[in-house]
Amino acid sequence: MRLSMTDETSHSTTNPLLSVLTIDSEQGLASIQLPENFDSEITQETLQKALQDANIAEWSLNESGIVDLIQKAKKGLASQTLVATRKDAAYRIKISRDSMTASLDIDPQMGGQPLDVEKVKADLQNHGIQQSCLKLQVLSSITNVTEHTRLVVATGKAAVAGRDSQFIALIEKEDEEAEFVEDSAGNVDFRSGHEYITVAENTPLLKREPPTSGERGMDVFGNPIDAKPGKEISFDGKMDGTYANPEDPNIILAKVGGHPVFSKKGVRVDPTLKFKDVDLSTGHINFDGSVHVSGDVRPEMKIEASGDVFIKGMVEGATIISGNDVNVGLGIAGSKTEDDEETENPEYDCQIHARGTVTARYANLAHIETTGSVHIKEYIFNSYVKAGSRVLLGQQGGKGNIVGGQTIAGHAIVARSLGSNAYVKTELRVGANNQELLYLEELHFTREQRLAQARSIRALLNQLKERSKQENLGEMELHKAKKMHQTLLDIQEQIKKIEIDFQKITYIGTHIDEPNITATHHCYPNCFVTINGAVMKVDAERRTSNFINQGRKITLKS
Amino acid sequence: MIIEKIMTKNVLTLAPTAPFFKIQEVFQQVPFHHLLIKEEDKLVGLVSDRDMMNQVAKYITQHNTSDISNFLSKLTVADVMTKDMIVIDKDTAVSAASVLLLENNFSCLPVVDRHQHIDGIVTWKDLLNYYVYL
Repeated sequence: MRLSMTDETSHSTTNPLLSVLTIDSEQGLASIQLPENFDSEITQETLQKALQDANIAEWSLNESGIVDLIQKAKKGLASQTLVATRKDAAYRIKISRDSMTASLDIDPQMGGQPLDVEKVKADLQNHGIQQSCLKLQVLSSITNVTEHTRLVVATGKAAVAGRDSQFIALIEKEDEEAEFVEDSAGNVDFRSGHEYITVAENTPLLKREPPTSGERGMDVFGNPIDAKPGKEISFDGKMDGTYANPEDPNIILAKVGGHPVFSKKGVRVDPTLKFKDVDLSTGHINFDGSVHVSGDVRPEMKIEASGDVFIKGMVEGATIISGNDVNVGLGIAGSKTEDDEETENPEYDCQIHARGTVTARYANLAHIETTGSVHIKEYIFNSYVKAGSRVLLGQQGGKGNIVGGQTIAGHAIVARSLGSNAYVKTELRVGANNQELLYLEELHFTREQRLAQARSIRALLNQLKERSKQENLGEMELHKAKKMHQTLLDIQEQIKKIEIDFQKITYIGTHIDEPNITATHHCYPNCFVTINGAVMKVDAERRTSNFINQGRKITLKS
Repeated sequence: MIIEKIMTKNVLTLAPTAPFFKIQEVFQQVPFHHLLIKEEDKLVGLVSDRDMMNQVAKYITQHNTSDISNFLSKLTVADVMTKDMIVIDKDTAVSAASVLLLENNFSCLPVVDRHQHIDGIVTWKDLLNYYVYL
């Protein structure tokens, strides 16, 4: 309760309590001296009124004293009770554990003096807080505090970690969108959009930028905080058809003419096999290098290449297996090979398998699978699409629509619209499924068991080792040590295998942002959204929807 | 070779709230020397016939033996069981289990899954059987 203050002792005939109220302005104390059998009623309200009339309503009340006073008054007893005190504003300086913030715990004034900003500033500096860390605007507001508050008044500067080595392509890649040119009759040759890139000998292809050291930070006391430097990442071991610039080994050049195939940390130059169309006249293609088709790949044909496969036209009912990217200028189209009314997971005659990015204008009744990403411009209809990383539709123009079928990605599915207004069942999954999650749990448990066993056996071996320093070990003990050592090696091998199994499943952990399924424009009912085992059926039409898994439930990110 | 192939899967269990005399009763009827203690389907402890004898011997050295029945009647399995034990999973190599058993002076190793459900138990006899006959 806060009452107004005055520095006078007040007596008023209108409030009987005022006659027994004594105010010591110097000490800031207000007390009631009650005679025996005081004839006026004393309650919280009458006391409050008295303090208000005395202009000390803001002072801090002595609650327990007041209760005692009221009880004594009821009994007609005499008493002298301190009922209120004047308090100046007070504060305590708190420093966070990591010394990155300094706060003030402020008790506001109650009839007394507010905080003096300059004095507080000086006190903070006396505590070692650097002037440059002070938040002056926050400090200036401390005089306006009306209730117990904690304010952060100084912050350090966090260190900025360095950037790892970066790999920058020095030539344009095929996945860059190209402009279509209209002729005088208003026709557009869609096949002209993408160009298959070849390079001449000695063309600079890739540059590696060195890691940065990062930026040092500073805590509130001015102590420097070292930044974690970026990591030096080497080029891929095998980069056929290339060589490092002798004057600058961070630049990779083409050793031969051919088609550059980029990976995350390198590039190679593939010999290229070129075709107009792939059909009965060419037969199936199996090539150690990259393949360029300026026309179409006809039904039932197969291309298998260790490098990129670039098709300017269409892929229809064919099989493409690529060691890197697959780029289809037009569409990927097929048909189901089994009766779709009976099969839960239909098979398709058009199969695309890659290890890099799969790019196409559209996909219809096709099976597309890659460890990288899938980029489709217009639509995916009734297809099975599985990407280790992301499935992206319409990100650079196009309808960007997924309707029907199953679309699975390791990390994210982003399309302009999901499902259709005909409510076609559309399955979308990101992250691990329930089976994979259970398997991950098993792997975790087994790994923990092996690590504990390895620790135990290592400790036993160390004990033997220590003993061997002090005494000669017998033949039995030497044999024992050898056996334990072999057992330890076996366990370590098992741990390595478990780590490899982990990586096969945990491709979802490679991105900074959380796994999500996003419709940037529209999401229709009868879409089944699954993220890391949690499932949700979309029941109502929605506009922009960003689905995430929060606490094992699918929710919309706001 | 993994432990699953040689462990005893048919394991007798007791609840921690069972009376001490129950342990005695069981050991009198079966050729086992170890009982696994289970609560809400999870392994929580282990009792051997030696633990049981130790409990009796401890009482005899410290108290009046005429009161022993009364004392034992108040005990439960939880009072005598070992809670702090090493467990293994069923895919543990026999060689690793052998080293752990031998070097830690254990007479058995409970085998559990990731939920601490009991898969079985492996004793020095199971290992001896393996090394001699398999």
